[in-house]
Amino acid sequence: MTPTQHRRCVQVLNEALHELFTARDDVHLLGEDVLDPYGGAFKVTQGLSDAFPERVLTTPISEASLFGVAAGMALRGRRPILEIMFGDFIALGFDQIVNGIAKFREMYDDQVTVPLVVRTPMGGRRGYGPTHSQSLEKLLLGVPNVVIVAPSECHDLGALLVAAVEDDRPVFLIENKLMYGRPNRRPEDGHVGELAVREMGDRYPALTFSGTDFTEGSATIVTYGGMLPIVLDAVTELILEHEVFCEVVALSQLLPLELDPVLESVARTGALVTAEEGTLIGGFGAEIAARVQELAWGELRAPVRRVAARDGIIPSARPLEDAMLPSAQDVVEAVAALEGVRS
Amino acid sequence: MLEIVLTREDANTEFALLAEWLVADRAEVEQGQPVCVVETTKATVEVEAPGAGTIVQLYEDGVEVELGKVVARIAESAEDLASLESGAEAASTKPKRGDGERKATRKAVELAERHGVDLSEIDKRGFVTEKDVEALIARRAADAAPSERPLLAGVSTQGVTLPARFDADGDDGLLEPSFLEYLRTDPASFRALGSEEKCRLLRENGASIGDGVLLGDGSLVAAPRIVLEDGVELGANATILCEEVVAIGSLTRFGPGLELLCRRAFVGAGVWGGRSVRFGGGGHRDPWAVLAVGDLAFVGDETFVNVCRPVLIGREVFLTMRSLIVTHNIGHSVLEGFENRFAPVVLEDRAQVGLGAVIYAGCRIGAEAIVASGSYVTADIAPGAFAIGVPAKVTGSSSHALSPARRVELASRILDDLHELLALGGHEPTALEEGDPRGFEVEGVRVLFTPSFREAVPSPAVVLTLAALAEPSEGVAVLDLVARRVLGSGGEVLEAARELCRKRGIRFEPGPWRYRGRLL
Amino acid sequence: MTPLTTLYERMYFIRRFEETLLDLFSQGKLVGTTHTYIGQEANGVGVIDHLDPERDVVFSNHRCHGHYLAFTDDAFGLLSEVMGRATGVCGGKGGSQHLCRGNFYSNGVLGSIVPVATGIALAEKAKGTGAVSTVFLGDGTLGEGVTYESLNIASLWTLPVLFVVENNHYAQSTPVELELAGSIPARAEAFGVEAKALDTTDVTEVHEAAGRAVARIRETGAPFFLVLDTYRFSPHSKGDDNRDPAEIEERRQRDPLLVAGARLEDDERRALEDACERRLAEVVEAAEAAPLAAPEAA
Repeated sequence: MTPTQHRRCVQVLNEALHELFTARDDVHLLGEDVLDPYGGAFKVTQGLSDAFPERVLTTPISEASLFGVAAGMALRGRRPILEIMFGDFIALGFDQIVNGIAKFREMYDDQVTVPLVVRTPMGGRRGYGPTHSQSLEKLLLGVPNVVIVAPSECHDLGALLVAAVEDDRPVFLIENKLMYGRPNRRPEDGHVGELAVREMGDRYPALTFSGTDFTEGSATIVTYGGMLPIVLDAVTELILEHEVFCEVVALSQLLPLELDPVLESVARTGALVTAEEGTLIGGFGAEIAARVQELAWGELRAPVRRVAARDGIIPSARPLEDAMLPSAQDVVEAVAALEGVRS
Repeated sequence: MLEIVLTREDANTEFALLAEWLVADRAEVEQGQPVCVVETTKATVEVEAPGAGTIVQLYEDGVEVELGKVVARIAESAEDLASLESGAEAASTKPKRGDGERKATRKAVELAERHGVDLSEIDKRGFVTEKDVEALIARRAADAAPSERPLLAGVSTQGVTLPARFDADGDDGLLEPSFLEYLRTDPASFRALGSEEKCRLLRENGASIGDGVLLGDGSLVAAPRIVLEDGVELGANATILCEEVVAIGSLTRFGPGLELLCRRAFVGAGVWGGRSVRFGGGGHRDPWAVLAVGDLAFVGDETFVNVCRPVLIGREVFLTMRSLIVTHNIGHSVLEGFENRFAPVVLEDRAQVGLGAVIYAGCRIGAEAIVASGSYVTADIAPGAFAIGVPAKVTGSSSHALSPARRVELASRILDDLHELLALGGHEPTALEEGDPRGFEVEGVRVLFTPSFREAVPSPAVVLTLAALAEPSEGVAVLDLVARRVLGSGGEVLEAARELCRKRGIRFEPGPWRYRGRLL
Repeated sequence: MTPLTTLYERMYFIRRFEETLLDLFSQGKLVGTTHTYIGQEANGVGVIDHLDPERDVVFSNHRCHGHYLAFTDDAFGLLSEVMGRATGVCGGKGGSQHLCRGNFYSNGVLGSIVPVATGIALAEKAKGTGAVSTVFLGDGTLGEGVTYESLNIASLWTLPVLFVVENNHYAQSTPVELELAGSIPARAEAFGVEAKALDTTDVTEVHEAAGRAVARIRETGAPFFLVLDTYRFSPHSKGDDNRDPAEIEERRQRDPLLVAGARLEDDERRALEDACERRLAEVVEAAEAAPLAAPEAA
């Protein structure tokens, strides 16, 4: 049992925070209930306030202002990390996000930068109900000049966090709630389980998974964050039960749109399915589908299909929530419905 | 009985890692003794035994456990322990690390079961698929095969009966180099010669040319080594140009317009080829351009076999007219992501390829499998399968099992059909009295069927049988329908019977055979 | 103590700059809209004179020209920005409401700037620069919830923020009585923030009160809430003025320029004004001659 096997995502993020705070003294963390011994609702900041009391601030419940406070710090050369306890609460900060954080650098003609990191957990499947379970990162997709990074449990979470803090642009680091408690399954020897994995991109890389060592594939499934393990379950089922091999592209950078890994895979497979936990309308899949059909129409043998949550609220009761959110079965069915998928 | 439960204390934590058991399974523990280490997102804690007894662990260490679950029970008495041991949560069901991580596909598992293959023999990173199992089966067969043929570059000859002369090292029929040079530089003057003259010149210059070889008008045979056995017949305008060797077995014949271009061509005996048959095409000079056509194969009109990688066609294979075999594709740059495929094709013995069907590079058609007309084969077809469609899919078996009684019935019907055809042709066959063997008489010859031929019958007679157990006497011909041999000799009536059998798929050796009689 | 002549000259220049903008607007030479500071000059000039442009920070709002000129004295950068010229301080990208130069920032959404100014104070405090972060609010901004979140945070964390509320009695066209309940200074006091309210158009009084406020912040590191009663003579932006002309006329009697100008010798005052006019003419000429902002070649 090697230690890396069992390091869970929350530990990896926590260690990265400790290393960042040790390495640089311009990093601050602001958030609700982040002080020890509580250490934050999801324990990502545990131990940090004891080690760096000056730079870890527990805040009032004032998200609308905290986005601005963090932006002000960033404007003045600090590297603030703002922890928003539940991703749903970013709605409170939208004026700051849209009219300030995303605009300052460009509207001030590049005289300033806003090196701000917003860390927030998104996602459901825990029965938290309509206002604590959403995946709202799609709302940020329509905001130019911000960076959205939504890592999966197979990404190098520590490196992504460090990259986000070192980025001069405002970065939203979308962390999936269920991911925290799961092992950070980094590729070993180019594989995660039985799937071969390739990494593309520098700062916020995408991971492409293949069950055939990239020799063949019936479709590409592009996804991110907490949907990855669900998509990998679906892909495994497709392989084991039907010998249908799909490639999976797990993006970590959602904005600016990172299409190269998707196009590269689609060139091999000729078909695309998008999978996201957020609602369908106007989402990540819609944007990817539009771009891919613009750029790779000739590669596609079938229309792009999207897997997403139903357009509605996320109910609290488990069976209702399960019915609302996209499942591995939804992914399997979307792939099976593509033209030219052998079974 | 006591339970050790991982308690849930925080709304945001649902799983914990059972990091380590501090005591062995079935160990005696004391109350308050630390028994395991559990890590949650919050902390690493030691869990203590709630009381004394024998611990029965329900999880291996190193697994994620949902909070609220019982991870172990403590049996406080022998009865407790006994009931635990017999319960549903016995150790055998304990979730283990890596358990449930099946890596072989359902198809692979099923195929492995059918062939008695142990999947653990497949040492592979990644998923084990049907193809991997097939490869293992083929490898095993190849390992068991008597010898490796070096010029086949690893293509398994399993299931393929190669022509007798298929041999890399033979040296008969080596042609005088200057004569080969003449054939290559002035083929027109050779083509203009008559058959006998061609044979004579070839013989005089080292080629091995058997008796009765017929080289049609305008035909050309050129290769460093040429072996044409007795009775080889090539129709008009045949062109054989091989870079190393051409060897054709006895009684093989091709209709007009044959084109045979490759490095090494070995065509067996009794092969029947139609008109305008082509072997060769792109890459026919490649070192792997090796062609083998097994004895008694049938190659229909206008069949095209592309040979740039080995093409092995087994004994009694049917390539129906216009069927197409390719060993490579053509297309755009491989660096732009287009497929670039060069691969051998193997048709195992008695495989059949229907009208106009296409066999794509890399495919192997198993013995006695049938590819239906118009199909496009992109993957291997298992022996005995019936495949149809574009792309071809297996929909059933190519044949079904017959009972002995049913076989007698079918053979007996051949006699009846022959009787009927002769009657319809106005040859006035007359039925014999009921008896064994039963039959009829036509043009003074009795035609009989008996399941097994054991004793002499009066001549002249033609006897159809499923088992020839005795030698025929003078003037009697016996057709062994199962062994597909003709014993004795006969005239028109024998030929008519043989032709009808051919139409039922029963072809007698030696071939080829063309019906030129007048009765049918 | 900064001489009154200097304060007067700054106020006069801002007044004439804004009047010139209105002229240029009428001539169709401005981009978009403009919110002028006419009538409120004593506030910006009186407060900002206590700030060190090299160290302190100003975050202003949509009505930011007066603050900008008082803090940066960059009339050309501002005018060419408002005129959509490439030489604008933000290359023509920001326009009238979105300025940035050195330690000066402005943005166009009410209330939005208050938390940012608070964050700036937090950063400066962490850096130990001793800077004061000044944010200009209006009575309208007091309707935005983030203002109170920021007051709470600034007080809670003892941040050097100077909140300046310029109560000009109108939120666009709505009189303050229809949009604001309760006391303005008491709002800050409820959060434990020291407040001072001033009802004057006399730049000397504003200057003195602001001086005490800034000194207090520098001394304690804690926020201060300065409420300045004021009035704008011109419309909110353009063409949206329904106020009673008699009310405006009454207020014009207390024009900060009249109040301060009365204390100067006529010759001295005229010399200052002439200098301003000459400078302004040069700025307008230069801005009009400057190239229009153009998209970068792709």
